[in-house]
Amino acid sequence: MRIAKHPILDFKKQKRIPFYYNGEKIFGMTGDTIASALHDNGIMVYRVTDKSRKRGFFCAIGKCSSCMMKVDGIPNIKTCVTELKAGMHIECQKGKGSYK
Amino acid sequence: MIRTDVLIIGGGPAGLGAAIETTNRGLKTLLVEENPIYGGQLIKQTHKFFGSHSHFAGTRGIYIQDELLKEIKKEHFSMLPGHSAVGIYDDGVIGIYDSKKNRFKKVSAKKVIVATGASEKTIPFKNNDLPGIYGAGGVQTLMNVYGVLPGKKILMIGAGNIGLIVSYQLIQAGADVVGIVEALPKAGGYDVHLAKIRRMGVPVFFKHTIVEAFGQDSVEGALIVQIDNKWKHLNGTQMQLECDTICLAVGLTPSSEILMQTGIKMTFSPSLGGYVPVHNEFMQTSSPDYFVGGDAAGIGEATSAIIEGRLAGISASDSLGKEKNAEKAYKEHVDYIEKLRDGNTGIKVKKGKYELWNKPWDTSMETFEKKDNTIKIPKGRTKAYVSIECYEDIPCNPCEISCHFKAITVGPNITDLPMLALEKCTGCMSCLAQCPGLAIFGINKNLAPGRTGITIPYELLPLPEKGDPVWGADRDGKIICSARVEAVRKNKNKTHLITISVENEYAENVRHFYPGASGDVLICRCLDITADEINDAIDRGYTDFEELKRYLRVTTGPCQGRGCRQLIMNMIRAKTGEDVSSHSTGTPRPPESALPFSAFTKGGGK
Amino acid sequence: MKAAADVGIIGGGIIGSAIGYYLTKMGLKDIVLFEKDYLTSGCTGRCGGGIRQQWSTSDNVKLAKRSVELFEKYEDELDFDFEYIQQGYLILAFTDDEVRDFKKNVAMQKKHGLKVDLISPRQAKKIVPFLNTNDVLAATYCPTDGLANPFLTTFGYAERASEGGMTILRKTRVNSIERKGGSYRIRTDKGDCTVKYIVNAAGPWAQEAAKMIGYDIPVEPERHQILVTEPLERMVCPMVVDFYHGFYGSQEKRGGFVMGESDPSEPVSYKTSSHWKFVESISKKFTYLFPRFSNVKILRQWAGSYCVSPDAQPILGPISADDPNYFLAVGYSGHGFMLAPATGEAIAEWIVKGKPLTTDISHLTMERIEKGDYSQEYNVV
Ligand SMILES: Cc1cc2nc3c(=O)[nH]c(=O)nc-3n(C[C@H](O)[C@H](O)[C@H](O)COP(=O)(O)OP(=O)(O)OC[C@H]3O[C@@H](n4cnc5c(N)ncnc54)[C@H](O)[C@@H]3O)c2cc1C
Ligand SMILES: Cc1cc2nc3c(=O)[nH]c(=O)nc-3n(C[C@H](O)[C@H](O)[C@H](O)COP(=O)(O)OP(=O)(O)OC[C@H]3O[C@@H](n4cnc5c(N)ncnc54)[C@H](O)[C@@H]3O)c2cc1C
Ligand code: FES
Repeated sequence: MRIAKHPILDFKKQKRIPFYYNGEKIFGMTGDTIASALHDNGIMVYRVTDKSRKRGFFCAIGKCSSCMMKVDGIPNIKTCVTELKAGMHIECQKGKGSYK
Repeated sequence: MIRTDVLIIGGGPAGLGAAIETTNRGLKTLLVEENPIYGGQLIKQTHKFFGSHSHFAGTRGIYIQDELLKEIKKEHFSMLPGHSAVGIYDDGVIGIYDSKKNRFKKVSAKKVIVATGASEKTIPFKNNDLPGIYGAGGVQTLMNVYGVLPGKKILMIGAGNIGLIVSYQLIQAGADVVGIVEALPKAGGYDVHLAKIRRMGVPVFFKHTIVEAFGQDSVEGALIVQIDNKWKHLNGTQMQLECDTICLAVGLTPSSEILMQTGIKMTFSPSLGGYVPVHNEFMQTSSPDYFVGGDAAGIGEATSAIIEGRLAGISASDSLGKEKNAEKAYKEHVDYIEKLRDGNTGIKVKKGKYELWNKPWDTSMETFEKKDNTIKIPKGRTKAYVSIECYEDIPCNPCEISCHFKAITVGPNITDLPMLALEKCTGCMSCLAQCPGLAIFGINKNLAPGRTGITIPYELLPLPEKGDPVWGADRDGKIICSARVEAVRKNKNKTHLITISVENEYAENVRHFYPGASGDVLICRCLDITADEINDAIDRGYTDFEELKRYLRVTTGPCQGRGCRQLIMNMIRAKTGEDVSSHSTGTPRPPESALPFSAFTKGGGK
Repeated sequence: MKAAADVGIIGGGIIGSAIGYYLTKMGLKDIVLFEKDYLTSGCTGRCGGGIRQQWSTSDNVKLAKRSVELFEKYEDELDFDFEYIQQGYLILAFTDDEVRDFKKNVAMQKKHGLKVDLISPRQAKKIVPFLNTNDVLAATYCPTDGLANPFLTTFGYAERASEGGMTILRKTRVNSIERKGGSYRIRTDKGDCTVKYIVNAAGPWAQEAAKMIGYDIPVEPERHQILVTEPLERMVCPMVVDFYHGFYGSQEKRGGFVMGESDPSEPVSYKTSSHWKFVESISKKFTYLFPRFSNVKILRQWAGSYCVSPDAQPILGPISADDPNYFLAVGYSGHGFMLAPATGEAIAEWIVKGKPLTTDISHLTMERIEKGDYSQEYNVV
């Protein structure tokens, strides 16, 4: 959920930009990271590990690797520190990730 | 190869503090910051900081980095955001990575200052990798930098300052904090931070820990349990809490892995939060080319991080022969930092640092003589005054500075408690908006007969409006009485002052309020007239029933006032205190119930 | 109570409030308004709120026209939604005599610049489609006539006047007045107040207030009844006036139809009770004129007093040459609400500036009555 109104912060108005999650078109905002945009869309599972454990983001500052996904065909991208761009194809990563 | 006099790694308060000193001494300085935004932890801190007024106390964290940047001499400074230092090689070359351009670059620097901050600790429990379990820093980044709420119902683990502050920030952003779980019998964070969220009704489970998280794809709940002082789970005390997010705020640990690559000396210090590079009072490590400051040199807080950064900057300049009066420059900062660490929280860090410096430590230094700052209010006091509910030795003094009448004294030892000179307090309440702990309240016993005005510093949305009915809550957030908003004073610093009135008997205990339901109370059903409209009209001077009736038309609908006449008379009496029995209550007019014209015409005609 | 003031106003109806408002607007602050009960407790509290400029005497036309100019600005000026709507007045003629009079009136009214026309029954039906025009011979129509809420207008004046310095004493009855040098001592049941000027705006009680300094003024109270229906969706209905049957009625801003009648057999009295004869009679008139609405429901009926003068025009200005500082604003004869703005302004000018400047009211003083030199206003319901 996007914070609509905040008592202290003024979030600058951003533009909506489209991107794809597992092939489905959804929207984020300019200034988002991939992780923040997904979270806003209610998507919390970013990858499923070899042992079938589901993972979302954790530290949000690029330190823990919890948030790695396949981005435009490239696996293991830390989505919490990767800026969202219009038209990106994001996939929930399965296992270690592949270039297929 | 990029050549520079000084390389600073990390653009938080410590790194920026260091840059102020080096650039002002004419040293060419390069700062690399991994994040695309500089400021470190500051960019997520929407609350006002403690500390000395002369060092940004009372300023919200989010504004401090820009204040620091202003003091940096730009002609000697370059900053590379989005660049992380990834290695220090045996020839002294530092490798940096430009994440945007995906390029590795090399830096050659005469001196290196490491101000890389801290990383978050975590704790073990079942399913602790389930999506929806986030570090406190991650939660802050998501909501305060990207404007996205992590969830709706949050369980916070840890009642240290970070846990308390992030809980407060979550509530500000519109989430519901279902509880705070803390293993210790007492909050590690400041009392005022605890008081702030307690009065908003957040339950704190002391001597509890989390044992597991559950949920299909992401968090749906948590199981917590009570523990004894040996951390043994007490059977029968298990409790399931429903939540969609679990936020871990279980501590920070210094993050200076990069320095370890150089082979400098490290040491483990529980009081400093983990492994720290050995360093002297002036922040030089065991190598004359590497300096350290801020959380990377031991977990502290932002003000001391700035000072440590500055000390590191002065040291580096000194070692390059750019400091003429080093003694004096060091002393000023060393003295201030000593003062900051006098107090129950800071003393831990001080002890850790003394151990590091092999300075003698006397356990008597760990106990502080606390002044009693409670005051007695004379019975006859009619003027408004403030109630300072700050009973802990926090290094902080904006209240003293904000008082134009010199009614509040903290003194040179900023960890001393603020003392109120009641006779000087005019009840102006300027201090309320400045206290970073939101721990000062205004009391006005003379607001209206039988009612006390309580002014509360308030940073939540929506802001109430004058006249709103609200619920008065005590220091534990429990609703204890009804109240009414009497004044809303908006402040530029966004700590707004809301004055509510309560019946006198509740004045000692009410310290928060909850907005009343937004639904209307309808008094006149025929014409849809609400209690608010009637109260407004009475406030406007329509205290005579007949005038009120003509002003709002109440009682002139089809029911002719059957439903509302009495209620309205009561409202007038309640507001004016007047005996309304002599008022004319309007005359019900024929017909008793509405009748069509045709009933009177027997077929029409002229 | 204040021991002294510049002006004392007797009466907290629309007239007293309007005068108070204009006095403060012209800079006078030291004013006390005495009201024996609550604001609008007199005639104003019973009023239908009609605002019409189509009169048969020049003076009434001038005053009403000036008033409309002022009403049009009040929403901003008084900062009050007083429910003003300009949906016109349609006056119906049922006899040749009426048609002849109407022609004369329209010519005179046009001379004063009023936008008014004599129209055919067909045109009338176009303006009020649900009106029964079968027996109508002609009609006059002025689109800028209208309707407003007299209570709210009074409150608007009173609020602004209080802000301007006027003191309003409710539940304070003026019992007697003494001459004291050049001033007057007003004695009330709550204390005394000495004033330089008195304004008698006591509505139906004007005669009593004049007697307090020894004058007998020719105004009399006369009961008039009125009713309101259930509120309905608005259908823009101008005030329809029918002198022949004695009927007026219109839909107010909140949706109810307000209507009243004139009853020539009504005796002089302060009586304000309601009578069943009124409902019966007006029901016949209403359903005759508006057959479509015969099943609309009557909500309430009530009555109030007109303060009637010999020529059905207000009596304004000093009560006599001997008492030049005792002003009358009385005898409005059932149209005091609509004349309140212009006459309020005129009286205030007279007190503050020595004479009325905006509207000429020289024919409306006591003098005309004493001399018997006046023109009768006939267009009264
Ligand atoms: C929730 C919370 C509330 C707090 N409230 C207060 C308060 O009220 N008052 C107070 O005084 N303090 C407070 N603090 C503490 C304060 O924010 C920190 O002590 C302070 O920010 C430490 O400053 P620093 O410069 O050492 O580290 P940081 O602010 O953490 O900055 C370190 C910077 O280094 C960068 N970095 C790390 N590694 C690299 C690398 N390899 N290459 C390039 N860049 C790198 C990081 O991206 C970061 O920007 C709070 C902290 C938290 C978490
Ligand atoms: C049924 C009805 C319908 C009407 N419809 C219309 C219409 O459509 N349009 C229109 O323009 N006019 C209409 N009128 C006429 C209009 O209401 C009056 O002309 C107008 O309200 C007169 O206002 P006022 O202030 O002079 O008198 P009032 O409203 O009667 O005010 C006089 C006040 O003086 C007070 N008072 C009297 N004596 C004393 C004393 N000794 N001491 C203290 N206070 C005293 C009284 O309590 C009273 O409140 C209607 C009247 C009635 C009854
Ligand atoms: S969430 Fe930790 S690296 Fe992205």
